[in-house]
Amino acid sequence: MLEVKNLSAQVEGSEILKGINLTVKAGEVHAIMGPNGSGKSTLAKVIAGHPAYEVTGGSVSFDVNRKPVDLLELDPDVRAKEGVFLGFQYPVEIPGVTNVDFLREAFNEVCAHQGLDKLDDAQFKSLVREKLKLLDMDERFLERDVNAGFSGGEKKKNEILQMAILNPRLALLDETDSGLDIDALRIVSKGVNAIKSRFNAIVLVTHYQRLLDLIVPDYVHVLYKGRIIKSGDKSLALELEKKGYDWLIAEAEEKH
Amino acid sequence: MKLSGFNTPATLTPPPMTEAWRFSNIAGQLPAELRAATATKTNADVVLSGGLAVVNQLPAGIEVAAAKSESTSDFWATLPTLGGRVHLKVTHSPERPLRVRIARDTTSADEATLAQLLIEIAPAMKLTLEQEITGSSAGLTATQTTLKLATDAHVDHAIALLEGAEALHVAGFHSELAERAQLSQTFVVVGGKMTRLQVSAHMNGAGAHASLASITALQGKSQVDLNSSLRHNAANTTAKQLAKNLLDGESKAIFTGRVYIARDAQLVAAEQMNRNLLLSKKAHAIGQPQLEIFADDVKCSHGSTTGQIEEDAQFYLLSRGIPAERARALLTKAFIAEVIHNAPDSLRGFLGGRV
Repeated sequence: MLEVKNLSAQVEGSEILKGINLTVKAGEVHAIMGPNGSGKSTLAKVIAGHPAYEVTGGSVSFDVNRKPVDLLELDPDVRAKEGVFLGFQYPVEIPGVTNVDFLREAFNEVCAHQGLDKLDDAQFKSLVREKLKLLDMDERFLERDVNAGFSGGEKKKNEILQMAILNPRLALLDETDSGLDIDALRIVSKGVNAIKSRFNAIVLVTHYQRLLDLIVPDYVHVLYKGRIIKSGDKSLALELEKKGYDWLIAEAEEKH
Repeated sequence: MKLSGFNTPATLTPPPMTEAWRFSNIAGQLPAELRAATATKTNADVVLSGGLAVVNQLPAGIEVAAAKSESTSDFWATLPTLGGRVHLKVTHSPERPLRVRIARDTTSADEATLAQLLIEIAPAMKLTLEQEITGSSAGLTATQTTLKLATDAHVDHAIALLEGAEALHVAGFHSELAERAQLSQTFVVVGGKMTRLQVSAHMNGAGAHASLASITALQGKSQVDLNSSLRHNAANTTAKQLAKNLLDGESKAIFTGRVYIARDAQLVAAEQMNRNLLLSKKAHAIGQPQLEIFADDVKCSHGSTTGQIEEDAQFYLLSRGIPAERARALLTKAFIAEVIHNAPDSLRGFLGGRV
């Protein structure tokens, strides 16, 4: 579904990604781990098309109607409409736009692009209500302005709510677990697990094993200085939890 | 300058440009002769147009008092007194908003509406005031609106000022607040070749509170100069001000925000914020806070931001499938909506319909 080949990217002249290779198939959950500043968030943002990052080499292909398409050629909104979703580490506050208007706007854009019928107001509201329940969210959320004055946990829940409504094929969740207490983490994980299916894939960017206890990854990759230095299964995350990153970094630097 | 067709024929000399008017030298652009514009008829409670004042009806609790003027040598304070004048007293809280319309229906640069409105609010009474000031393609409107709030009085005031492309406009809003009086003023300002707003609130009684918010939306070569003065003359008075400008084309917004806190006015809290959103490269915003604080136990904050639509906010919408054009429109709308959302409930409909 997603094929990242030798991807390098820079922001404001400094190179962050230095040749990333990553293959993600439908139905899989991948975890991207690594020390601060290793390029984890950058990778997610580059795939989603953040304009501040410049791709300097490599390719990203994404299957659309079972055919690979050059994702880097598509505008960010088109990537979203084709089923790429980025859950933000720091969701943006938009005072003056209500959550429900924002959700409806996004949902209609995605439906129109994918050739699906628009839902009428009642149908849309009932879809939203169902997803709110999944995330233990109050209906009053809908009339509040997007993320404005939300607590950290509310913002992250709101990201997963958007994901649940847009139903993406590839979800990139950038540190969705940071700033969550145990209860919120459980609710968010429950939401992600409910959305997970054999038709979609999830890439989790995270620092912590505790998220991976709740959303179990098929693959774990360790990113360091813009390269994946180690890939493995879920046991790799457990090993990292015990031993930290130093041994891997030493191993990688020896090779160079 | 010769004035004709108004209540009091007069000849006035426009003042020379001073520092306070250096961005908006409206006096220097006035014609040699100014005539009263033909009065517009509408069904608002109070209509001020050309040189006339008409009171169509008033909500129960409001009565007309004899208009009086305090003599002044200031040109811009004198000018409104030559036109239509209305003096009202709010003796009981009316059940519905008072609707005042100031209009100028003219296409000629030498026609004007001059108007003066004075409202006194009795102790503990509450007034909701909807004031619409409309101009047309050219001409001058010069107005003065004064609110005098007695102890515990409360006024929610919305002002929609919609001007034509070649019009000149000077609008004064002055409020005086006694003990614990509360004033909320929300301005929506659109267009005009040159508009000068002179807004002042004097908090004379302890515990008085003034809340001022404005959104100005400009395009073409329009210019709006908001000159405000919040005076804390008594202790425990609080004020909050949000001045926002949305600027497209080659438009320009100037915000001068003076905050004065008298020596004895302890425990004052004053908050001021100026935000400018530039939609084009040639749009321009100037912000100048002026703080004059003579008391020592006060909380005072001010800030000013000028920028384009934030890349992160734009990307957030794009990443949800919303196209760039639409994302920009939504974020622009959101910039305006903040002021409308924060207005008192009873005035949101009036304001929202006029942006």
